[in-house]
Amino acid sequence: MIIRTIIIILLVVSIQGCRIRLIPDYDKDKDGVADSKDACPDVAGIIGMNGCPDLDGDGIADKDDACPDSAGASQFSGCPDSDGDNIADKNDRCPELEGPAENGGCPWPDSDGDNVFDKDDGCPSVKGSMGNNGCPEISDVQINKLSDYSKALFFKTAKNQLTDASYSILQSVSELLKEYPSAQFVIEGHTDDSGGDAQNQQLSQVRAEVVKNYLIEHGISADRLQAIGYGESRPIADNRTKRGKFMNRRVELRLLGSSSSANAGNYMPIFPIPAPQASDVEKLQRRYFGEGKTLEQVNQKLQSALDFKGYTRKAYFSVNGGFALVTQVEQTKTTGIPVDLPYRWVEEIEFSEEFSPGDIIERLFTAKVGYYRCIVFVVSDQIITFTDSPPTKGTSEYWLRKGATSLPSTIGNKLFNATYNVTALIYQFEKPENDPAKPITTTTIPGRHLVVTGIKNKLSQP
Amino acid sequence: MTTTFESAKKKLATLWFVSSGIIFLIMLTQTISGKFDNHLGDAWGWFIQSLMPTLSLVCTIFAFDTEDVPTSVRIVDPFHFRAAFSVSLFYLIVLLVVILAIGITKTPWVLWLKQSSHYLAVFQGILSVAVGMFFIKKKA
Repeated sequence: MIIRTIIIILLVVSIQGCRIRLIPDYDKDKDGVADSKDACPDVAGIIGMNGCPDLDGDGIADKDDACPDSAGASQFSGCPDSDGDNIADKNDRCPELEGPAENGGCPWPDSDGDNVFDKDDGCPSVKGSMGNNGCPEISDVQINKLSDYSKALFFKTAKNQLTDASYSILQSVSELLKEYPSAQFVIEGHTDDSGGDAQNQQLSQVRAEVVKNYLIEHGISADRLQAIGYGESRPIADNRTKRGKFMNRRVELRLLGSSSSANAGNYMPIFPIPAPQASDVEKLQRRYFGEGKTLEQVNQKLQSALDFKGYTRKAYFSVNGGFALVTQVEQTKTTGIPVDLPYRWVEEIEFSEEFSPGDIIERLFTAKVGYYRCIVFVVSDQIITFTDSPPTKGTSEYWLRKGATSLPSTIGNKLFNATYNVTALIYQFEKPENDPAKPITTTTIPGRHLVVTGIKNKLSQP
Repeated sequence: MTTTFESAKKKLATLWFVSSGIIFLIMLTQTISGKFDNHLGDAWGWFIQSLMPTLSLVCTIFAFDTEDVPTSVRIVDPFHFRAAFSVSLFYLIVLLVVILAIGITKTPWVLWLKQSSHYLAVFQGILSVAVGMFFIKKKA
């Protein structure tokens, strides 16, 4: 009989999950919640909160409330977030102003008020446009003005001396260039057809350098100026007349790489520099790209290597002085080699269709982890610095969605001179089977990512 | 035809102890090898939820019944025994398949075990009834 009773009780317990009440309940704090169920048996509280009080009435019991005197949301442990920037006031350096977590909850400063934060602003003290990294854009009117100025820069015959009238014009040119601190220019030197070709070539180069040096002496940064001599190859007037020869002995200034209003369609999103902390950084040697090329030619070389290796989706961003090329996030093996399709471009962890006993046992007893990688090629004449925090996998996926699909000519026409570097920032992530992906701060194959992907090998081919 | 309760009880208990032991050893190996990673609670929660109610019932009966030495031979209806034994066998095979299938399914194992709880709950109800009937319906 005893056994039968026990069996019945156990059955009821196992099937119904009933609780058996053996001890009478007390309610010390008289809040209507029995002590056995009261999470705060010594303090009168609310029935809906298991007998605990909630002084600020924010729906979070005081014992779980980091700010029991101020009403707040549950995601901030009951603390308020006055400016709605998802950072609780107690952790917010600027609780009244909305700002990102990376800046302690304060808005990024924008000294010139051009809506481009100082950290991303190439010209933080001069109002500019977003499409031009916060620097002012040269309007078509100003470009025409510059063109008119440059038409009036002339040299004495067979000399590298400017005519007297040209100096005052050059002064006006330097004033105009100072208004656009991010704009870059090519100074083209030309001669008439008097003398030999080689001599004229040299003379035109020297003439271009003369103008360049004058502008540098008058406060224009040397980085913004490039002098090229064309000799007598590009006349603009008849060399048979004295007037024509005079017109051909000239220097012209051509705008390079600064978008004007006419180029508004070339707006490029900006890649953040300082860049998020990378898993690895690989610098590509200049020999892969050759000399005397433009950034567009560098881009084509990179693009062809990436296309060949299956990276068909890419996104472009502008960076100071150049561009960034972001590849789609790919899944890799632990060795860094991309996994086969269809798993290469999807989040689902690679799954071998092999069902040998060894494979099954391995999958049964070992944790599955997916590895992912995004490569960002930065072609720039600026130094790359990094923030302390790495990006999330979501951020690198966002880059691909946000970036432009091609490189605009305003950037592509820039010359890939000796000051430029091509740097690959490697962002790696690992995703355990049942958890979200997390960044890998130190790669297991330093300096080998572009080798194992085959990109370096393809780049080295002519 | 009848079966003695002692013999039937031993067969049922053996089935449960051996099967539970196998599943426990598999999961212990998975725990040691790191398969469960940060989700030990999910894995062993599934084990406790799927096995412990019926296993503790079998253990309790086994322990209590040993103390209470019968004075006469007790018999049990073969139908009740076969029902309890076959439902137990089927349920334990399903449990074993669920845990072994982690090695062949694409579904992340936490989700796989959570999904299994839905259909295992149905079997568990039937199982409790079948095992309970077997123990209750014995006759002196």
